[in-house]
Amino acid sequence: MRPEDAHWLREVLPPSLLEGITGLRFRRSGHLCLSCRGRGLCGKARCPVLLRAEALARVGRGLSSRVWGSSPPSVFVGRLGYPRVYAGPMLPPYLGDTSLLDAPESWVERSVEEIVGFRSSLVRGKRRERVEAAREGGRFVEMLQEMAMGKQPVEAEVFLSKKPSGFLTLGEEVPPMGPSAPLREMRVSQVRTDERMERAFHDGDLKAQEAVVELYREGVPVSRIQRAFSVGVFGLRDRRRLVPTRWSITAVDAILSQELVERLKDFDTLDEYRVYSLRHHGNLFLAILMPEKWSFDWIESWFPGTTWNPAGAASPAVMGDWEPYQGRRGYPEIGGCYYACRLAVAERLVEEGRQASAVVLREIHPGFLLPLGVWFVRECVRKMLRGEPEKFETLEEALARARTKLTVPLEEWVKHSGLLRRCLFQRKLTEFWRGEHAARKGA
Amino acid sequence: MLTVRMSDTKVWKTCMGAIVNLLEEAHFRFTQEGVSMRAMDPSHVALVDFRLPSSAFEEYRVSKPLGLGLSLTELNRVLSRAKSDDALVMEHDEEKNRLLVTFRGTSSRKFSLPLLDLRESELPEPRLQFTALVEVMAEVLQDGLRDSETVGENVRFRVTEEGFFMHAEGDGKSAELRLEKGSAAMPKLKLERSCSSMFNVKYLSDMLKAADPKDVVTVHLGEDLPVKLDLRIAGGRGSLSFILAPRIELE
Repeated sequence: MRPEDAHWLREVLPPSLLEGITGLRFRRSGHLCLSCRGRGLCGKARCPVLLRAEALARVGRGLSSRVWGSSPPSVFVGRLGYPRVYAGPMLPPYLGDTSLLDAPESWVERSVEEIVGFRSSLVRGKRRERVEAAREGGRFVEMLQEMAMGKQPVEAEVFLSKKPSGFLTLGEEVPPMGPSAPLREMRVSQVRTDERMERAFHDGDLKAQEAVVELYREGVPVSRIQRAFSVGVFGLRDRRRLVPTRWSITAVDAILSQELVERLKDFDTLDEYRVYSLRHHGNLFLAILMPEKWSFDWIESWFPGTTWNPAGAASPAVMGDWEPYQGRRGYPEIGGCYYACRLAVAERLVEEGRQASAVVLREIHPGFLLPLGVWFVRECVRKMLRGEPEKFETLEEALARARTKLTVPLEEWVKHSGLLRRCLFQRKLTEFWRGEHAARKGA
Repeated sequence: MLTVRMSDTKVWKTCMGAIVNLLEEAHFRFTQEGVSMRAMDPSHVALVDFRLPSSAFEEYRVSKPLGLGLSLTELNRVLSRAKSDDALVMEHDEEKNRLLVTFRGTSSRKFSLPLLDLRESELPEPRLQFTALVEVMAEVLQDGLRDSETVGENVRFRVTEEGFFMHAEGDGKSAELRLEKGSAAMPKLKLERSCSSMFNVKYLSDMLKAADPKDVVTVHLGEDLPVKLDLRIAGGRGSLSFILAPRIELE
């Protein structure tokens, strides 16, 4: 969208908010939004574009090409142009304890408006770098690496080649981001780095995968590992590189959940069927854990009028992916949220020292305005599994309970769930040995 | 002490290659008579029964019965390094508690694998009342499964007086295979009464990876019962059997 296209905002926003807005970026539902311009044709409770614009306008005012503030710390590596990508710091134009701005682990209790608000206050400076710069050095990338390993906010000053333009970028994997501009120069105050990260950074013989697992074991939050991973501070010395932020998020979720899954396979299975659920920001999460060996299924159902199912569709769009005990081959079609969810589930099971088959369902109801990043799935599933489950003797009872909570019919879920179909329809050999099958047939 | 040698690596390699899809690790039992392994997959849906008599080996020296726990994933990785005309030698290193796998060809290449502490699983012989038996060329089954895979995740096996049939459907698509009685690809058809059962295609195609396309597979079938597949290996000296539980779709 060209900057001049934003003129229609003048009709709906007070002039005081408009200063600093030079453009907005839309994804997917852009056509409808363009013709609707905030009149509510999409049927959402609040216009997502306006929501973005408002938050953006708040920070857009008064921004100049010099930004001085406390980075949470936060860094971003883009994907376009790989292997020559945009990399740079993110910081708000003020000083203070800004750590919350880049700590998804603490966002689950916040409103969507708040999250968008503080994410959009992060100004992003960007500079083209070869991904190999992570190992070849250069002061700029070294500063980013130090920042990413910081354990508290870092005071920084960036000089941009122009006033940051008013893009608020939203994506499925990454959290929302504020305005950006090419970076000319950056100054960073003394960074107090996390000594656990520092150790992995200085160990050029430690594989990235091993570093990730080790840091997680030492209690480093997943989002911080992901941040450091993206600026290439882990791995064999001559293999290090910058990793686009969205890839690094999925890579870390995948590595950690794989490790946890291997560990939980040594544990006994659960003793009962369990149903967990959580309603949050227009989403319903529901998990069914079964007393079986590990396997995992993640299915989403986007209602008409939500981000990825623009208004006009007649029914919820359902999509999912699963893995049997042996694991899966290939990347799940549904995307990075698969691994974010798998991490939350495997983490809970390892904590309890049990294994199970897990089906996790998510209904995205029309009240859900914006994609917030896959952290939302990870943190919501974590929160859900911290709650008390309802326990059942049989799968039938558990499903009957689930049915009362779900809006999408159970039959529709079963159709899309390889795991549920297996549990419902695949018989076990042991049934035939014990003669249970004959009894069942006779009944 | 254990030292065994086969001049044809392929037999061992194809069997392990098929079994690894069901089991990550397995307990092999070596006795004077031969080597055997019997286990269920972790989800209790399939059972593997593998027997290779000492006569299938050129050299077979086993001083006392011995159980070896092996990671099939690791073993397979090693076996994938074998060349087609290599001979295979397996030895037990008692001191280090390892299995030594040697490929003897132009050169001699030796791998050493750690042994796992696995319990031998005690599995009863399931008493299943099969009502039909057919001998079918493996190639026919393999083709039918590949056809089925393109339309859905399940396939129905059916045996009647007329022959052997495979049928799959999903998402409005369907695939069918007919093998009429008297076909050269079906040397034997014996039935008490017509029957059919449905199975997961993926399991079946994994199992049939061990079969030589030109060899005959014996299929035991019943009404909504597990299926038993008998594969002949090492020129009929050994056997590899699978039992797979059916899928029964309820409303």
